Amino acid sequence: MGTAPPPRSRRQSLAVTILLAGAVLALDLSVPLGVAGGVPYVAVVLVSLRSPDPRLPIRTAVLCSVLTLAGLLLSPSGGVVWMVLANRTLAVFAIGVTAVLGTRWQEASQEMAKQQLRLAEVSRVNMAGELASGIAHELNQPLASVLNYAEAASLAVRRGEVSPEKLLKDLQSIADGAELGGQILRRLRGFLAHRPIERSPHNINALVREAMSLLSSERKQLSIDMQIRIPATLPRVMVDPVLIQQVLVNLARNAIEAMQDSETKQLVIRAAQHDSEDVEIAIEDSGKGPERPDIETLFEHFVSTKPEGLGVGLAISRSIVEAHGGHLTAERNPYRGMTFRFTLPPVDAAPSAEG
Amino acid sequence: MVAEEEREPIAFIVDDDEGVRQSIRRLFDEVSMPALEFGSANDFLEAYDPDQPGCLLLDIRMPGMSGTELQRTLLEREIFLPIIFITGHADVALAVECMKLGAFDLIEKPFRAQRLLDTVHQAMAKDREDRALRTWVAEAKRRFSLLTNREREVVDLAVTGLTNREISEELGITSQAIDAHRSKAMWKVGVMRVTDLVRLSDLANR
Ligand SMILES: Nc1ncnc2c1ncn2[C@@H]1O[C@H](COP(=O)(O)OP(=O)(O)OP(=O)(O)O)[C@@H](O)[C@H]1O
Ligand SMILES: [Mg+2]
Repeated sequence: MGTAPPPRSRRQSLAVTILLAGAVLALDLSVPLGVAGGVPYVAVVLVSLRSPDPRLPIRTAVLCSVLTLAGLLLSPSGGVVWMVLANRTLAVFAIGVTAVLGTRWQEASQEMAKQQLRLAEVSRVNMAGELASGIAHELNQPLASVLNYAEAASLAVRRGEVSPEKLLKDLQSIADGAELGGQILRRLRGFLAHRPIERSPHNINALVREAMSLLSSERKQLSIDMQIRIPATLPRVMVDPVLIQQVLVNLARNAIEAMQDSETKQLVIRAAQHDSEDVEIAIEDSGKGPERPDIETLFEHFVSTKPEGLGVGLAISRSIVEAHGGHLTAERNPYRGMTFRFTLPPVDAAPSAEG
Repeated sequence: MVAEEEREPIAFIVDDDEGVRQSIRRLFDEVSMPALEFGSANDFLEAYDPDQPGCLLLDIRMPGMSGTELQRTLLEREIFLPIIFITGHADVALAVECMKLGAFDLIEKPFRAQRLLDTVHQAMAKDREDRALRTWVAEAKRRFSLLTNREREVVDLAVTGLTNREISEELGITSQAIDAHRSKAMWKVGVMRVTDLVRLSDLANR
């Protein structure tokens, strides 16, 4: 796994900008371009836009304008004076417009990043509300049954017609109900840790391998054949690593559980980038496939076909992926099993972390 | 009228959660209340004989056909078994909808035994009354269908309290003819007194 280059610092940006401006001035002075000598300064302004300092582009524009006019005085080249003057003024104009538009564009994209974070927060809040109501429902079941057995037993005692065996059975049922309630809470605990999303650039390959190591005992037990096919050329993704690994674990665990009774047990994890847009990660299994005709319903909270499944894995995974600005979808494979795909923003496209 | 042999009412429990279902069953066993369990709305629909009195304990939220959907299906099939909804979470909107559709009551999980048993008894009593009323209405309609149009006209006016003279003016026939029609009609529907005729006509017009 390669290490991330640190985000470009203010001082670095300033140095690069000044250096470039100097180079353009040298070029302007040494090559007899005459009228057009000021135009490359636009490139300097563009480069300065990448600095974290929001004032640098405007300052650079001022510096470049001064240098453009200075070049006119220092340059030995001749020509019709008013024409050269007009051209230099045009160059200054271009530099100014580039700086203003660039700054505006930067502000807009920062605003967009903020909005996206806010959206993610909203979807977390919704998720929390839905989860709370679902948990209430799940916990009410064992509570109701505990209460019913307790009441039935006390009715029996009150009527004076109670055998120790019958009472024992009721008490056993009560204990079972209480235990079930505890189990539900335990399964939920991992999902409930609330914390803000913290994104940073991460290597997909490393994320996937780390997440899969968490499932190694399950994989060994069922002798699952796992393949990870992730090209080394993929850009890194802007993610909260803990949350994305949670998604990977949820999806892979589902895949493994679906292959429990299958003859071929193949788990393939791929990643690819289409048209330099979002990076797509696919988890493909050779399991029994979806048991419900409408695949979309699998993403609802508390939809499960497993005896001790809670049915929150996919719902939570989708919320997490959407909070990162991606999508999580599922499809039935043509031959057997299912493929779940989700997208993540690559480092370039993601709103900058310092926003 | 032939009194139908009374069938013993049964409490039907429809809930996808086996633990809850069995614990309710245990409660009913303790008070010797006949009960049957079903794990899904469809299982119940397939097994239920509409002539079986009792009441239905129904979970609102179930995979497959939900409790509310079962309620609608029963209404469409004109099955009026009283429904007591049991809900695991306070979904107010859903609860209001169920009550609007005529649910007997709604109980939130977890609940005290007394609350459930009282409600079940009330629902069963209501079911018994409703069934008796429906039998009477059907019987009254059947008897009234034996009347000729003219007899029906005379009876309809007579039960509103009009005198013979007023009826004869209204229908343009003699008072003796009206007497004859009315006695024939009362004989046909099997009542001796006008007050009984009024009651029966009331049922037949429901
Ligand atoms: N790879 C898969 N192949 C076939 N069915 C799947 C697959 N992944 C999910 N499913 C179906 O979707 C349902 C919901 O999955 P989800 O992960 O949300 O819940 P769960 O696995 O049942 O329980 P848990 O909350 O403990 O993860 C599963 O019960 C299963 O029926
Ligand atoms: Mg799962």
